[in-house]
Amino acid sequence: MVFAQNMAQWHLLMWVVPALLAVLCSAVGKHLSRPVLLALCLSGVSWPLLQALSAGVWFLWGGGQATPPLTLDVPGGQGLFALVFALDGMSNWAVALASALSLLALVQALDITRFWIGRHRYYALVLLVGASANLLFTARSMLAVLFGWEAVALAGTFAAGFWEPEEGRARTGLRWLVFQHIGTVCLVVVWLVHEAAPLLAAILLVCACAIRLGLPPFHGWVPEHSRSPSSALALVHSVASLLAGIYLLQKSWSLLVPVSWIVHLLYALGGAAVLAGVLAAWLPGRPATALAWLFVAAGGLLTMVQAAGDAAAVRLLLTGLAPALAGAVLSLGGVVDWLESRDVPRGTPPGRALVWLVAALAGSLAIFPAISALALGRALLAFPAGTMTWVGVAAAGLFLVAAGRVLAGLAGTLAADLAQRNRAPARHGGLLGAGWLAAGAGPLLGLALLVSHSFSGQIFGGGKGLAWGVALGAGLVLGWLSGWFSSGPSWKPAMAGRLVGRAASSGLVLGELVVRLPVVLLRMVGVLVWRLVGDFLLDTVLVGTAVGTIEGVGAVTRLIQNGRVQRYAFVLLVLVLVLVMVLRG
Amino acid sequence: MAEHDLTVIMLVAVPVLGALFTSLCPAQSRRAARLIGLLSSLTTLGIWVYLRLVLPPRGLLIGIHATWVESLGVSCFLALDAPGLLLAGLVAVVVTAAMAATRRQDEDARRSVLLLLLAEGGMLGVVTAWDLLLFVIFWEVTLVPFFFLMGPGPERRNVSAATRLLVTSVSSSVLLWVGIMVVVVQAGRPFTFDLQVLGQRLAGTGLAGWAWLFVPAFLMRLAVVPLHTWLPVAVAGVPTSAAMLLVGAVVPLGGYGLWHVLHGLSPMHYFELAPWLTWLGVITALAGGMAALVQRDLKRLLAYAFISQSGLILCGLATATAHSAVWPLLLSMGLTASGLFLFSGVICAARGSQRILDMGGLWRSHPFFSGLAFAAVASVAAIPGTLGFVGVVGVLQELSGKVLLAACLAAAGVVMAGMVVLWAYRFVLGGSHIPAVWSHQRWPLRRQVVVLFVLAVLLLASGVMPGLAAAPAAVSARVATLVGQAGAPR
Repeated sequence: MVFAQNMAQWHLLMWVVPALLAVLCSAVGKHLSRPVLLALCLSGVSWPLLQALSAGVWFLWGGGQATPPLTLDVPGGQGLFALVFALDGMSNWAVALASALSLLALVQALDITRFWIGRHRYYALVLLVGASANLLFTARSMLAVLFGWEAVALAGTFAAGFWEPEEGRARTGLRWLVFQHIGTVCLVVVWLVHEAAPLLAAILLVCACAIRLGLPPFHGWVPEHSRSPSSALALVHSVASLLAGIYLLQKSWSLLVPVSWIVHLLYALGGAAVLAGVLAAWLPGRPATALAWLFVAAGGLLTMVQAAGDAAAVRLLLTGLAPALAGAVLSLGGVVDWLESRDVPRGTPPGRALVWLVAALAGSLAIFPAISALALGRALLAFPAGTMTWVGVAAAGLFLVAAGRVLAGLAGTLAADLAQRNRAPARHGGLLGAGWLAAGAGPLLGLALLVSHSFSGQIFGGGKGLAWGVALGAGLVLGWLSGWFSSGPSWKPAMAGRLVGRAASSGLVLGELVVRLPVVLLRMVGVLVWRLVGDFLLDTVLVGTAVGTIEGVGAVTRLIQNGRVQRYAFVLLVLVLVLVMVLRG
Repeated sequence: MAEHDLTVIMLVAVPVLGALFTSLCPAQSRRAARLIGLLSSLTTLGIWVYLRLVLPPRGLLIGIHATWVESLGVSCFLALDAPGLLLAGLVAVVVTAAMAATRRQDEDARRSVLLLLLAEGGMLGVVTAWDLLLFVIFWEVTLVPFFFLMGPGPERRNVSAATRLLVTSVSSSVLLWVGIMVVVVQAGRPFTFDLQVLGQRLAGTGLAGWAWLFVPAFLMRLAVVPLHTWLPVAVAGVPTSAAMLLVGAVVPLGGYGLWHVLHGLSPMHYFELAPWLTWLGVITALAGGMAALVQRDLKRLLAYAFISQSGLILCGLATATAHSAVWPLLLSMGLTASGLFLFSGVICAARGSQRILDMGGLWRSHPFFSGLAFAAVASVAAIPGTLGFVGVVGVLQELSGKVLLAACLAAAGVVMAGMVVLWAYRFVLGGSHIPAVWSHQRWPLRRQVVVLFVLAVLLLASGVMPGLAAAPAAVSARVATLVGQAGAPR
């Protein structure tokens, strides 16, 4: 227990170690052999995970509440610019989850990018995403929170755009960068005015979280971001977006609660995100884009559960959703990488790709119902009775059914592609999937029932919560089955797809408007300021007139000095004198 | 409380002497000229470091205070206060960086070094002059070297950048001269140009409306709307080292001059101007940000981004004290501008173009050099962990306590400019690298990388430890304690 307590008190190492290893990996990774590079990278993500798990022992069974705040003593680091860090149970959970997700992403990246040039810098960026997330979770002063918040966004930007697929356009991750910077500015303003203007602070806080989670209307960065590599996509959406956004929402809940209508705003934003995400996942496009929209929908669902007030249910749900969706992205990304790989000849048995696909199926089946559905069951009990309960049920059900269908549809389509490439009958893929369904569902549901008798009162909200969870889990399984058996080139139904497509497109148009309209208006004003005010009024009229006047005076002066004007002036003077004499005479 | 130290005079004298020695070098000896320039700037920096340790916690460090022209009341009064010391350090660092970053094969290196050293002498004179006549002389001398450095430059509507700079500067300086004469006469006999004495004599009556005569000269140098149009054209046409100095040192000195002269003469009237200066700063911040949005030329984009920062600086100056957050912001602007104009100058020269769309792929070809520039980019964007963030947040905090709307609008302008710079940086870094369109000569030079590294370290270290960039009161007290504990004599 002393060891566990020490692990908790050395919480600075949770982000210092991966950050240092990231710098080392970036600086000398090019010259290291592959085993050494692997060891370096895996150490960077494994250390905080092991440390968090050890510290968790102290928090769960050692009676630990939180470590004492640790202030970094730097010149000028007082008051507004104090850097304070600490670790409590919630932070430790966030660090553990973030580190686990980073480990998953890194393992997939190590495999996918093994022949790519400059991969050591990419691994360093993956480590940095984890390190900055851990910094955010252990921060206790506002400045430290801002450090972590911005660092996560920046690391995610560079990781997403590292393997720039569109030559010369450099757009992947750019909108994410701009959106997140605006979110950071919102947090800075909250920091400065939360005492003087609490209402403004609450609104800006919600905006910052909504931007990070990609809730409508701040979802304009999602489609563009889905062009990034699957490991970066999984990491950014699960750690940088979902986990960080929900963490900040929970940590700052005390600032939001005094404003009575904030809860309703969160319900509305969350519901809109669930609807928009689910609909957008149906649009034709890349598999990664559909999964990215599922992340948005998950963020909406979590926001609604947080608004209902059950923070523990939020954390439980996030623990289930984040690895499941991230795992699906990583697994399907591995399959897509194999399919698109040019140096694998046709007929080659899809060994590694099949492993990834099976992992995707297992992930979508095993983790989702075991934790997520049951956690949702508990969460639904927290919704206000009456209409809001049914709204929650509808949102949760819509999300689970759609998620199951989308995941299974994608997996089935890719299985068909694999089979076609290998010239094997497609039914082998279907049999494989059905086998996993039967093999996985039974024991898991049995396990859930067994657990419910022992812990239902503490974890899953009693028998009623369990009943909701089982019902929602059944919905997920039904959605999965419908997706799997209709998988193939036309796995999205034609008629329903067109209606759904129109509804989703209008939501995406709204997201585009939020992005483009302010930029267009500001650019118009910028052109006015630059051309009309700067170039014309100031340069041409003011400065140009002054310069013209000076040049005119200079020209006249030169004329006088060259002698001719002197003669003309002399003649003129003589004439004037003669005239005067004549007039006087 | 004031102390005397003749080293303050050396701060101004060393660059001038260095310029003199440079002028004595043979015209072909580029290496000797560069060496003298570098040694002079390093010596000046060393003197500044010494002065940082001896400046009293609160008060003035006087170099010389002697009568010069008794009948006119002109004195030779050179001294340093807390903000002046910070700005002197900025000038010393930026000039050293500019000297170190010049290319060895520049044909007119001797001329460039001579002019840069003269400019440094002028700028340090501005910071140390406490006699108004001396101040104005140094003020005017500062821009003359840049007029010659610009040379032919780019022309717009047949008006060269140098002429534009000259016209704008002279027309605003004329008002400054008039204002000073009026104030000297108003202060009564015997006439004096001593800033401290004038402030004491005007304590009862103040400046009245004459305060407005002083403002245009400083606003022009600070590149505040509507006197900002010279800056984007100027930086596009000067050599890299001159651009670093222009935006990194000359522009921040405009802000210092405003506070130094106006606040020194009449604090009462200075703070009466505060609402006007604040809203002018807000307009500048917004206009600069929006104009930066539409730029496709890298150097012009940076120029407008710094014009936006000038607006925020003006907002901070409106309510500044000797230990306000505006001084770290001025410091940040100077160091950031030096770093960014060095980076942009190097890559524009290597690419042969200043268009952002012509660049790309630097992350693959020059990852270390590009990565170092991120510190400066992050500082402009006020990303936490940089000196820019410390300055911006400090100024916004002070401003939000007085006019919340102005703080929000100014923040919006600065954020806009920062995001545009981030976009440009991301664009320059990403995409494909086509070696054929870039210079085949070795770039960047090793010393240019070292300079950028040093600037990045300064920006990041000051961002994490804000006390390094604060007005030296607390720092010098702490150093004095350490020195006392070590038993070393002062």
